[in-house]
Amino acid sequence: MIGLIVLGAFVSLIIVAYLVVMERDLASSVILFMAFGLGSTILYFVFSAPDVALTEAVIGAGISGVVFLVSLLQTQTKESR
Amino acid sequence: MLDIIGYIFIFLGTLLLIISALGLLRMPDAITRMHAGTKASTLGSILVIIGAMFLEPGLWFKLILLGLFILLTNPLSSSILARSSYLRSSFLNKSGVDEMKDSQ
Amino acid sequence: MSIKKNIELQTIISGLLVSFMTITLLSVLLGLDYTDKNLGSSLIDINEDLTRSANVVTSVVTYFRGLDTLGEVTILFLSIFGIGLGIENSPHMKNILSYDNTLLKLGAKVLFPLIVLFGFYIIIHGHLSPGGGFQGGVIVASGFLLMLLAYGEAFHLNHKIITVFESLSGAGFVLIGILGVILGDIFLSNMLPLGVVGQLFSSGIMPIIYIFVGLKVAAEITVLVEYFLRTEDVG
Repeated sequence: MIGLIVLGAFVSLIIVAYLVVMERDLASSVILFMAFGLGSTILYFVFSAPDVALTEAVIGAGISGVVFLVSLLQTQTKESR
Repeated sequence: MLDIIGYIFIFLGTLLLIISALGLLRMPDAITRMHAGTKASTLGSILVIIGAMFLEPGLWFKLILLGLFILLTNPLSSSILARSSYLRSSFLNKSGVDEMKDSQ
Repeated sequence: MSIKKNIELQTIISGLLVSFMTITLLSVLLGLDYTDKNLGSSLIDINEDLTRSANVVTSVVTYFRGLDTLGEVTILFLSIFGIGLGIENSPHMKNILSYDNTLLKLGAKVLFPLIVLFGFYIIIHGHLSPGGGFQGGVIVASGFLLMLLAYGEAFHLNHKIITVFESLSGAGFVLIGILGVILGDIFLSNMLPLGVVGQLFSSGIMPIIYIFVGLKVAAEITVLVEYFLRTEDVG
C-alpha cells in the first residue's frame, strides 16, 4: 500500500515537473510549481520525514508561490519564445 | 460495528472526492469547476473525517478541529477564486444576468 | 491540421527524458534497501540517553549539530538583509493583490490567530512531535502573509517590535551557547536538567533553542514577504 502511494507520488511529481517546464504561461507555471510542492510534501511524509514535510508544505506550496507570483506581476506573465 | 460505520463514511467521502475530481475535468469554465471542486470536496473531506472519528475515537478533538478548519478555509478560498475569476472575466455567462455588477 | 505537425523536436526530446527519468527512479525505488546500519541508526541508539527528546531530528538539529544551526540562522539573516538592501522599500503596496473583499478580510481575521497559535504550538513542541523552530516560524510567517494579502496597506507591521524580536532571539541563541561553555564544558552543551521523555519541560536547552530559532525565522520570513509585497510597480 505504501509502495503504491510512493509510486503514484513519484509519477505525478515527474509529470508535474514536466508540465512546469513546458508551460508557456508563467503564472500557470507557478501554480503548477505549487502543486509540485504539494506532491513532494506527500513524498517526504511517506518516507517518514514529517519535519521536512511540514517545511515543504508551508514553503513550497505557500510562501515561494506568493513570492514568485508577486515577482511575475511586477515583470511580465508571458514567456517570450 | 463502529469500524463498519467508519468505513462506510470513508467510502462515501472518497466517492464524493472522486466525483468532484471528475467534475473538475468535465466542467466547462472556472465557476462551474469551482462548484464541483469546492462543495463536493468539502463534504467529502468532512465525511472522511467523520469516518476516521469512528475508527479512532481517541482522536475526536483533533479531528473536530480539523473539520472546523476545512469548513473555514475551503469555502473562503473558493469564494476568493470565484471573485478573481469574475474580475478577470474568464468564464461563460450564458444567462446574461450579472448580479454582482448590478449591486455595485 | 494534423497532430504530427504540432509536435516539436524539443517536446519529443523532453518526453524521452521524462520517461527515462521515470524508469530510472522506479528501478531505484524498487531496489531500495531500508535496513542499512549507518550514522542515522547509531544516532537513534544514543539519542535517548544523551538528550531525552522524543524527536531525533530535533536533537540532531539543536544538540548534535547545534553550531550548524547557528550558522544556518545567520545565513538566513544575511540573505534577508541582502534582499532588504537590494529591493527598494517603498511605502506603498501594490494594489493588485489586495482586493477590497469583506469576506476575505473577515476570514483572515478569524484564521490569523489560529495559524499563529498553531505555529507556536509547532515551535514549542519541537522536541516531542514533528516540527520545530524552522517549521513553526514559517507557519507563523504564513499567518502574517495572509493578513498582508487580505488587508494590504491597512495592515501595519511594527518593524521596531520585529527587529527587537529578531535581534533578541539571535543574541539569546549565542548566549545559550556561551552559558554552555561556562556551566558545562563546550559551546552549546546541554547544561540544564534533562527531565523525562515526553514531557514539555524536558531535554534541557533544546526547546529554548528552538523557541529562539522559531522567533527569528518568523520575523525574517515576515519581513521578506512584506518587502516583496511593498515594492514599487516596475512596469
